[in-house]
Amino acid sequence: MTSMSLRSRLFMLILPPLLLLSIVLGFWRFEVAQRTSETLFDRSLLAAALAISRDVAISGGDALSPSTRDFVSDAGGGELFYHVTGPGGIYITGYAYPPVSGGRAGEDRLNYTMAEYRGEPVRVLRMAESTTIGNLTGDTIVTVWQRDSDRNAFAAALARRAAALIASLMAALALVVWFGVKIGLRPLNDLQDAIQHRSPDDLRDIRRPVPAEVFGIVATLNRLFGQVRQSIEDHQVFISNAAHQLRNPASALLSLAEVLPDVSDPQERRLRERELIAAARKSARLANQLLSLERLRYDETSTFDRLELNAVAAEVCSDFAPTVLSRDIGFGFEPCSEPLPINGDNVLLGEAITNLLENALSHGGPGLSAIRVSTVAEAGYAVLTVQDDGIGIPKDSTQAAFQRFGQLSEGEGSGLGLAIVQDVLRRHGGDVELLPQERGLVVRLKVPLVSPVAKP
Amino acid sequence: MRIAVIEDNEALAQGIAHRLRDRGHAVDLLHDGEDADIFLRHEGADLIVLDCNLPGCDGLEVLSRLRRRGDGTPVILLTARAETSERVAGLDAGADDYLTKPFEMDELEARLRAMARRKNLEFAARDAIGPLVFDRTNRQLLEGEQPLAFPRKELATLECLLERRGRIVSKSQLITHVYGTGAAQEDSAIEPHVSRLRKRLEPFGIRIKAARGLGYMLEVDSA
Repeated sequence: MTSMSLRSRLFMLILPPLLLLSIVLGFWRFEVAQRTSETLFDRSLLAAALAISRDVAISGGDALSPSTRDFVSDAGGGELFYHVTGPGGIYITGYAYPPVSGGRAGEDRLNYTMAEYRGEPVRVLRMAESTTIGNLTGDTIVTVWQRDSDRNAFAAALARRAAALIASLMAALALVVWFGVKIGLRPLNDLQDAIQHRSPDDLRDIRRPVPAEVFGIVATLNRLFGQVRQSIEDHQVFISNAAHQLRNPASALLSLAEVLPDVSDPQERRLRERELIAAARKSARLANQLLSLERLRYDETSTFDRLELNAVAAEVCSDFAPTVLSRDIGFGFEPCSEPLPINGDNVLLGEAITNLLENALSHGGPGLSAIRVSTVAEAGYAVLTVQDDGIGIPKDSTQAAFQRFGQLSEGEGSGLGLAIVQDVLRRHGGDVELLPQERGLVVRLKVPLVSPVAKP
Repeated sequence: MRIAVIEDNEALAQGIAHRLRDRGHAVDLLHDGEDADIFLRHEGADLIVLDCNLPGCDGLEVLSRLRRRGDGTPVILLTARAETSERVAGLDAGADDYLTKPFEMDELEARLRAMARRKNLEFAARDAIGPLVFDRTNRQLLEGEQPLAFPRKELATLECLLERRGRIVSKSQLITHVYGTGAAQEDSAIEPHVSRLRKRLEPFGIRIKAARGLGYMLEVDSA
């Protein structure tokens, strides 16, 4: 699903309100035009009436002068009709039958009314003036009228002009918005190009100047690029380390295997064979550990089951005990008498415990005589302890022991063991502690206990 | 005994075949799922070692076809990693046992032996332990061709340890083997038998080692 484009969005946001506003303005303009035209036409009616009455006065009740007739016929862009009666209602000049308007009250000197003339609505001005024509003194009444439709046509023309103006403004605005937005959004397109150019091989930060509005996005992207870069670097370091680690046992295997056919002494041969098997076992083990670590680091899908730590430990110990016993080293397992329910991944926990046992066996030194595994419940945690009586490690190097590929001493072992253990325990919400002893080493694994009542 | 080894990793398959042929078994090596299916349909086997991931046809598919045909030949599955789902699927499809790679040859052999025994198949009538030979058919321990006069319960104990040679055997497993399933014996009841057996076997370079809290392990001095 794609949301509306920014351009359409801005377009929709800006234009409809303006359109509405312009419609309102248009109506207002029309009203104004209407009123203006009324005022204008009324004025021109008045001007015409005044001109006619002056003419009448000058000419002493005769016909209109040509200039006045021109003016009258030209007034206000519409046909103008007039009718003049002298004192005593004597018809003087103009059209024969003036429109009959309602307010024929002669009291007002100036009287604008609406009336009907030949079936059309007209605007009528009746002007009364006292004059003396000849010997007659009285009111001369000048009536001028004009078709209302003329007036309306004028108003409509005014309104049309206004509407055309508003419409062209709106059109210009729409164009400006449409293309202006495109131009305004160009930095975004540039940014898109910049992102498009990024690839797993090129994850540099985006450094080009960007508008303040997208600064946050770019910062977030750059942070993401940084994380991906870091992750890839971590992977590369891991892979190169792993390859390096695998090369050693592989070359050891090769050298052992290559000389084997030349060994004729059966005693010696058996010894070499045993070395060969040990080397092969070690490389298989190392590959397995690397897989575990990979799985721990980059596979978040493993699901936790309800487990019982005593059972997990017993299985691992049973599997590992033959290796210990065959080297004439004592091995004991003392499970807690209570069940220790935990949530966890059987395989990962098994791997962690196996790693501790392997560490005890391979780093114990010649003085190692016994390895003891025990479990207890302690303050809400199931605690598994692996204790050996070997050479142990110095108190100040417990931190270094957890480093991946960070071996405390040159020797067998991949240097992955404790790093794996730590990852496993962290994932289980637990912890691992190294407690150097007077003699040997105690390693404690803590996993949170779950209440046995909640058993499914 | 005829054993079909169905495994596409040829080096591993060869290794397994060498070991089993050394033990006197006939081994058929198959590297492809479809081939294996056809082979099992026509030739059959006494025991089957089956890898889960096979080209041609998945190992689990081979297994379920086998079971659908009503073929109950014991099958041990080899899985690449200890993935619980694969394991469960394998057992559901009718596997008798499974083993996670990488494994020790001793372990595979012990599993095959146990599997054969459960099906009342004679995996090996005679088993060499150092200088001695254990005769399963007559449940006798022979030095040369001469039977050694060991008490019956100790021979049963030895048989059980021998079956799982190189692995830890728990006391309860020993009790079950010696006294029968559901025997109302304390785990400690086996201890005197084990300690007497240990003394008797020591001169032959055969040792029974104890892991406290776990059980015993039979080990033969290789030198």
